[in-house]
Amino acid sequence: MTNQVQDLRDTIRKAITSQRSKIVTPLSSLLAVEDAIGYVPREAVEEVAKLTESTVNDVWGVASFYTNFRFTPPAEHTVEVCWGPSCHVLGAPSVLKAILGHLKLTTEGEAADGGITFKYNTCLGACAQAPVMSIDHHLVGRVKAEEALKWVRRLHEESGAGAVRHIGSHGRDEDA
Amino acid sequence: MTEAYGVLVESARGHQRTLESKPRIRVGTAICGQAAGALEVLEALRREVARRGLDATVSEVGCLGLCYAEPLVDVQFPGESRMFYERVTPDKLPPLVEAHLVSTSIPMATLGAPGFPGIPDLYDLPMMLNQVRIALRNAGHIDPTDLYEYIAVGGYLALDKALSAMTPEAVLGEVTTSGLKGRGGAAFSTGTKWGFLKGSQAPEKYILCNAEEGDPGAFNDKGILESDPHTLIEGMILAGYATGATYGYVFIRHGHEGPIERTQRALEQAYEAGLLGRNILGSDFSFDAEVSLVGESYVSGEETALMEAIEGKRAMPRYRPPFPAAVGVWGKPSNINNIKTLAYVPQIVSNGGEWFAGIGVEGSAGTAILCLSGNILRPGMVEVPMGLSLRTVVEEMGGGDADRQGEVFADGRAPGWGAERRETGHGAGLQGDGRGRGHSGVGRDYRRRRGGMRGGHDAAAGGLLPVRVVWQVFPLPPRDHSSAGGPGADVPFRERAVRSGADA
Amino acid sequence: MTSEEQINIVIDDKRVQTRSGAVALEAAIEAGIYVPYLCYHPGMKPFAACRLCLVQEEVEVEVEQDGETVRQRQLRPATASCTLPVREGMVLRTATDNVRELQHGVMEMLISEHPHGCLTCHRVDLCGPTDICQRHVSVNDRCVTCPKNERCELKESVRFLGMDLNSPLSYKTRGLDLEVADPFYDLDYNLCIVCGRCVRVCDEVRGDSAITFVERAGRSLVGTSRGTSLLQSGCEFCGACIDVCPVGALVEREHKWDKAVRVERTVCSQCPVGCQLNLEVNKREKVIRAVPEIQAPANHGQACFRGKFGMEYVNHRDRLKRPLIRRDGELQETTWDEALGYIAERLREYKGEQFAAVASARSTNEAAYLLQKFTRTVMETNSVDMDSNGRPGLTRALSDTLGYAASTNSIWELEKAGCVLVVDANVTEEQNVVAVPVKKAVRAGTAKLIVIDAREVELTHYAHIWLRPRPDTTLHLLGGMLRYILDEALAEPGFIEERCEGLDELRTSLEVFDLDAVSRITGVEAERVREAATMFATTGPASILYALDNVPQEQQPMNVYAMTNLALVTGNVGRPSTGLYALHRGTNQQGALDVGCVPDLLPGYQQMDESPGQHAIQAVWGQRAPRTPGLGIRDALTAAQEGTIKSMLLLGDSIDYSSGELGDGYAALQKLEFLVVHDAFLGAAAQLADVVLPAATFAEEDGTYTNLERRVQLLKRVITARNSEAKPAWWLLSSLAHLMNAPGFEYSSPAEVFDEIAQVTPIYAGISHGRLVREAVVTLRPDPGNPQPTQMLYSDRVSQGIQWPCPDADGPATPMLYESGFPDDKANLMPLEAPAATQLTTDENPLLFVPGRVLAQWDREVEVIRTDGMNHIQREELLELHPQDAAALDLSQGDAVEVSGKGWHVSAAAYITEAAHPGVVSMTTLFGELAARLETSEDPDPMSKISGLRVCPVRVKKIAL
Repeated sequence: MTNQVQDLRDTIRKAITSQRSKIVTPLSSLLAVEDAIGYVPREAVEEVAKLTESTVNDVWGVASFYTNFRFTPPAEHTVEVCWGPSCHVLGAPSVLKAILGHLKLTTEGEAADGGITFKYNTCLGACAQAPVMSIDHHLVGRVKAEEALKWVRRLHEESGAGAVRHIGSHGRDEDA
Repeated sequence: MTEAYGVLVESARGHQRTLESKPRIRVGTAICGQAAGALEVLEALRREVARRGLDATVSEVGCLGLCYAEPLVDVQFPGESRMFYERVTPDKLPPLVEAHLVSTSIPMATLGAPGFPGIPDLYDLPMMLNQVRIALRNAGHIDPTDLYEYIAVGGYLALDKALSAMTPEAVLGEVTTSGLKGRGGAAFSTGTKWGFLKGSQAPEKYILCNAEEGDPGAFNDKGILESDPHTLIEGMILAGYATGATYGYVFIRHGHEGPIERTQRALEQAYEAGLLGRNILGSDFSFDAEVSLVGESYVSGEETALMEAIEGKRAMPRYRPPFPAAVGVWGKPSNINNIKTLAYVPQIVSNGGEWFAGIGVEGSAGTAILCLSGNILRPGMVEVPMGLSLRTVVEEMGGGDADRQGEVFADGRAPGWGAERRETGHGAGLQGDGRGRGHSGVGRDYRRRRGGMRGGHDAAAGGLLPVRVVWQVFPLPPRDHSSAGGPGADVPFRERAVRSGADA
Repeated sequence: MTSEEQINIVIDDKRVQTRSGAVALEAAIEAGIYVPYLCYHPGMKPFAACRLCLVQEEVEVEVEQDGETVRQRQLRPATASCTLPVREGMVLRTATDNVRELQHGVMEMLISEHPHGCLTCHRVDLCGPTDICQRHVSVNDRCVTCPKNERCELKESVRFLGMDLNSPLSYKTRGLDLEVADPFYDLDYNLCIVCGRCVRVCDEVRGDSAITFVERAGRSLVGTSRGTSLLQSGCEFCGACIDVCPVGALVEREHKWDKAVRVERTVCSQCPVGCQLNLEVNKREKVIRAVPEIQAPANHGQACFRGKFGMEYVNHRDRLKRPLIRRDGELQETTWDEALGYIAERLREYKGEQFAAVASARSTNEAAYLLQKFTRTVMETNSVDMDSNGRPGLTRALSDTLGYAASTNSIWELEKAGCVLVVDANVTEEQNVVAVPVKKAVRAGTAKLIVIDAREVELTHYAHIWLRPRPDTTLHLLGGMLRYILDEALAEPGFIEERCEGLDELRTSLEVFDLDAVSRITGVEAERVREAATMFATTGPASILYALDNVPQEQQPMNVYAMTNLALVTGNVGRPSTGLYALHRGTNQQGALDVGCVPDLLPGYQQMDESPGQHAIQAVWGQRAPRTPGLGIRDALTAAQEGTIKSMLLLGDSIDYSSGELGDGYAALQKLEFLVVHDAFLGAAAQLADVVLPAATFAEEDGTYTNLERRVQLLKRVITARNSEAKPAWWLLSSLAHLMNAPGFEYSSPAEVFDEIAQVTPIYAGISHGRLVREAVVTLRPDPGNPQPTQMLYSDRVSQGIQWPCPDADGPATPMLYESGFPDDKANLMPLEAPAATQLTTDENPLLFVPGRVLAQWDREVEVIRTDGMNHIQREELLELHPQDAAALDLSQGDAVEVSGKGWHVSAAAYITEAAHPGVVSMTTLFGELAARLETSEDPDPMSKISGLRVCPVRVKKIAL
């Protein structure tokens, strides 16, 4: 076993053994892994199976059921656009189209250069501010296609740790 | 009153006095606020207050329901009413702080509580008019992360009353009398449902609280958790007391950090204050609760699917019988209640079932909590008495169509939007088809459709809309502003009592 | 649930009696009323996924009519009958218009996602042999669209419902590749209707969860974790998923396209569990598929990789067809007459102590009985044994303590046990189906499992406590547990007082087994022994399963005494779900022992002295057996090696004398002057023979097997081998005796042989072939006209077999021994003796090697490589060893090492761990590798040659990479 794999397993074990909830299940453990490293690698399926005394197949059945799990490492940045009805009504399709076009994607996935993961979200929970998108889990409401593009472009250009902090510390209107 | 609760109330009063002794600025940071930029506003505000060295308290509150006005900031001087600023941006903050807190001369607020001539009264706003706030009584008013603020406005009083002066049967009786029906969708009598669980002799029983709000356009469950998580926790403990359950779970979809964090924090506080755990408030009753996360899947909102998710499996619905009240989570008797259902319980226990039954209309007691979104002038979250007409809510409170050309549509399973009478109410009663009513998204159609059913694919969006949503299309009658009200018009709409902490 | 009550309901105007707790669908099936269903399968929990099994309940309601209240009958909305519990007086309708309409709707959705060439083919009802279909494929009794041709429940259901397929059905497949790279299975998920039967059987019934539902909604299918090979997924290749699949998604690869012309029920020949199998036979008299019988008492519809995929040997082209006789050193074909004449002539020379006979593990009771009778009366010696009898102590020791040399309880009682102790047994591989109720109970949380084994085997993964002693110290561990139970007053004093003798002697003998000493010798922490002892003593009812795989033969009786003592002192004998199960290896080892195919006992365990039993036998045989005990198989081989035994007769299809337990048997056989082998193949022993006789396999033979729960079951002739002169052993022995002018061998059928067995064997006295047939009970009434799961269609009259002792022809069988007492009034608690340490290692091979085999190992980097179209597992092998040994060998973590034993070597990476015992190294392989090897084996009968996981001495050396 290489050290890298060993490290990954250690991180995973730590994530699944230090869950807050008293009840540890395959699902809760997978969510903990997703929170810790952003995706569910094969090793996580195995470790969760061991911890919860189930088989990898059972765990995989759970992981593949819920749409919030991903199985490859995410890109540095994650952009999500809500496509719930309220957002849809108020222009999410044009936001989606603009971002997909910019990232040269046809559906959700990683942009070619690997810097951005793009996802659809069924509801980000802020319907009143529709259309809503989320950039590295930071919500932006009442977003227009051009504005969304500006965010994505910035992420693209500033691919680096700084970009996240930048969004967290500035208001959207400031940038508009 | 139990001794333990007395101590808590004392502390809460002290805490409140400290808070009220200096100017206080609140920022609404629920999800809707955040999406509108409230976190940036909050940060800018803190910076500004610190820069100027002002002796003022900055606190976060949940959602007042006026989502269209977010980010919403209000300033309150000791002994005065709250003055609101809507759609605040970080760049507007320095002048705002300068004008309102430093010069303290000219209130620039756009909204306000009564007493400031020239500033519209918050409760006269079209969106606040008609509202009866029971479950949302504290939303947007108190700091959801502050247990003492909740106690100061009467929080946990119902629990104290139940534990010190009521038998479990009496609590169950009040809930039954209230006519409360499940807000999760099936509109089944909550009292009856609790009765099933109470009837089970098993030593371990569960109260499950469903916040897996998968319906598009509905965000009121999350809204309650973000704005006033203690009211849910109190409702859960009361449910546990009434039914003999000993454990409660709140299920929230993974990824909704705000509701998760605030609920988790509230639970910790409740444990610390002896409101959860062993021998609650010194009584014989013990109850534990925790937050559990479920994965993203629309079907997890179905109660048996949710149970599978709780057990960590694929959320595939179970068949019935056996029913959850007999065999639920981990094979133990369980009750699943919607957040809204449980959030009513403290007020029902405090004020009595009769009081609740008096609100709303025959067969549909209490209020409906509705979310307005989509192509509407004033998106937001409102709580209105059952029976109020849909037109009143959408046209008058929500301001109607933003660009005056659409037709209104409502979630088919929504709170009781009876298609025939266009009133809020439990659809089961109104339509007689036995299908559940209870969710609460209201939106406006982006396309003109008439009287049809729609669902499934929507190629225009470049993908899928949730397949199960069935939209009922309501032709919009000619606009006539004089026809306000409805069958519930004579209900006292302004429930001033619930304004509580803000301008008490 | 309270005890089951009879409940009367009405289905479609027919009165139906059922039991409380049943669901409406079960009641309908039992009553022979057909309700279409696709996801329900007997033996599994209802799933309510297919929504086809709809019924409407008829209720009486009061309605207002013209101002008067009248009672009216009304139909309630349709509901799935698989989840509808029955109530007294319930009235159900299964074929209302409403039900049919809904079923049509459901079915239309199902087939819209299923390739339906078989439904829309215009020749669907016309196609016959030698037709040419549109695709210019010669049809020849099969359809080329789906391997489940004519056995597909979906197709049959569509036709039952009379769907008029007018809705625009586009021929649709999911475009998934056929999965053919795993052993034994062909998987075509394009045909899957996601009924979930396979996933549920693997999880609920088998406890493996090797497959699962993956994805969801429209993309939901069946699969493994990340779509990996079944080899890696923990599959034990039991075939249960195939048996329940209603469509052609999961099928057996071998004979996939073959059509069965008939089905015959018989008993599996692969191990002593005694699974009843339905063997499908094609028109060329080949056994093409094995489908376990769902109502069979020993297997409850389950089989294993051996039974499901191990039957090909019956059809194998290498089967011997004619007798062979050695002429000028060559084996040449001959006739039976010549072969038998020659044998009769030669055997005369070896009467008495120069002769020995050995029955096969697969010999029927009739064959084993006749062999011992032949040996004793014609050859005048007692040297007769069976080849699987390498561990005679396993069952024989039970007669010293309890009375009968057999397992005490029935296999499926294990499902209700509170605690199961498994001692040195690789159940999953060797007596597979016995593990099913154990795993089921453990997974359901109703049973605790304690495993004592130095090896890591599948059951250790299910164990609550796995005690891993140094090899050869099991007895110390058992002694330690026993002493702790007695010392801590965890025993059942009432039971001991009333039903046992010898407590004081036992107590005294246990002094040496104090926990410190036990812990030191076994290398198991004392606390763990305490835990296990407490769990066993306090979590009743408790059962013990043992095979004593790596316990030296001479120590086996003492180990059995220890386990019997454990069961007795805790009161776990003579009650449901308790007792001891001796897991021997030979298919009919119990039966062979019962009918006296052993050197020191006559049929029915009669001693050789002047006992009444001996006289009875003498009366029937007209002759008495020699008085001195003969040689067992081990001694006989030794004697052959030494030259005192000069001639042998071996019965059996492919005896494996190289398994190690018997030493080098082939070398001994080589020294014989005259060897006769009756075998299905020209195996290694047959190649040494002077005369080889072609043997009929179990599938070509009538007779009986007695399984490990003492159940005598009927074997039925399934096929008649074409162009073959293969004969069953009873015929051979009768003919031979006749030629040697011996009286008393005038049998015309195995049933007659059995009648004689019943005469001389008191425990079998009430059993006969006739009774076994007569008592077969009708448990289901499948209507072949209706679509049913294959297992249901094949199941009607089910022979339950008869568990001995059954002394009276109209008396009952005995599913559980010692319920009302012990034959000698009281059971004997046997004092234990600590064995002297055996030297298992040699100077040359100073370390002990402990092999292990598991279904899956998640944390190892495994790669599946594909060669010749077949998946193989490639992974880094780890050799676990103790730091002390590592230091002595100058090894550090991860070093490459070579392990060599006698005649084999393997390379691995060193994995140094404190968990290993000093002086002991261990290594685990995957069951998947074994499965792949079995599938690709050139051996005509590979399943019978799986050697047990044996501990052996090895040496380890570091190698350069």
